[in-house]
Amino acid sequence: MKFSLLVLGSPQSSPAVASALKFAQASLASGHELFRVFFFHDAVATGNALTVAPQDQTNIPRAWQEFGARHNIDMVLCISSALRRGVVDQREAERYSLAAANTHADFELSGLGQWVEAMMLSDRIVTFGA
Amino acid sequence: MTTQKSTLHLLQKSPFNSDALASCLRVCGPDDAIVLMQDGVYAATQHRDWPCQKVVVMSEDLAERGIADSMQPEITRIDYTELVALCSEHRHSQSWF
Amino acid sequence: MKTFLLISRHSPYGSSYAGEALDIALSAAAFDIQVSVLFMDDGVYQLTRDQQVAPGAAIKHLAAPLGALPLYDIQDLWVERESLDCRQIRAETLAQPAKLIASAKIADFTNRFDRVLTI
Repeated sequence: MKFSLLVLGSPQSSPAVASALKFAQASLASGHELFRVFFFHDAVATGNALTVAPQDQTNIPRAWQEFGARHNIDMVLCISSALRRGVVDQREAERYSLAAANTHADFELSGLGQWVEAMMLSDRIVTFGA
Repeated sequence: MTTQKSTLHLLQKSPFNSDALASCLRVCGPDDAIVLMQDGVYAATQHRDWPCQKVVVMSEDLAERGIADSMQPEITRIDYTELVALCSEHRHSQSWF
Repeated sequence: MKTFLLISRHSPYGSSYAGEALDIALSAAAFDIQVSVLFMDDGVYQLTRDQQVAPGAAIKHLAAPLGALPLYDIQDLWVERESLDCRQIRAETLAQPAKLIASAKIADFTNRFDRVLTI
């Protein structure tokens, strides 16, 4: 079955992003396909490549980045949520003359149409709220 | 056990500081199922008349919060593999947060 | 044509969820999807009349996305009766024409749609 996930909570201050990762891992292990993961609202911080976690804690954004790279997951950051929160790739940094870019290369910044398409082309959608 | 026409409700907030559980219970149909997860697991400590047959709780969220012993007996503990299976059995899932 | 039900249950200015949920509805309509919206819980407050623009507000004002609903042919608006009743809001005072639905009917109602999303 094809799953797509909508994630809204912050990776640092909500259990949503960590929970979504466990769900994603379990869905692949069960033989399902992950069509797309759409990070919306505060969850766009998951695409930030510059986060540092305390030594005794899991770096949730990095865990998602590694999982996504290993399994070639289609991971999209909502561009409007991301720009507002200072999560930008090179292209957006240049467009808005910002000092730096900070997104991980495996995440794409794109619009809500990517989520709508995922909803329509997947068998199941699951939301991880804040 | 496949209930293709029903909804899986994912309760993600504590019933003590959010209306998420109350609203979920209002709209839950008899063929639906409810998953208590994240702070939603606190709902597992109270006895109530659930509107559906199947109510389950994420085992690791329950254990993390130290309330596994006060869980109501009608509720079953599940892991993420079982959550994925439940999601695939239900046509829709609705998250309450 | 696929059908999509958005259930919007957050208040308009306590967080950005309400505006973001409406943005999803508008995006879906642009994809030639038949969109319905059900407002419940504090989400019904999105439909009060005379919402003023607060200068310098962090949360975007809902006038634009709500006003865009009919332009995107999103006319199938619903409000949960119990959410209105417990807030002492009368349906005829709402800013948009919405049909009332009782909580007990919502489970069957959601089953009619191809996709359902609750925010």
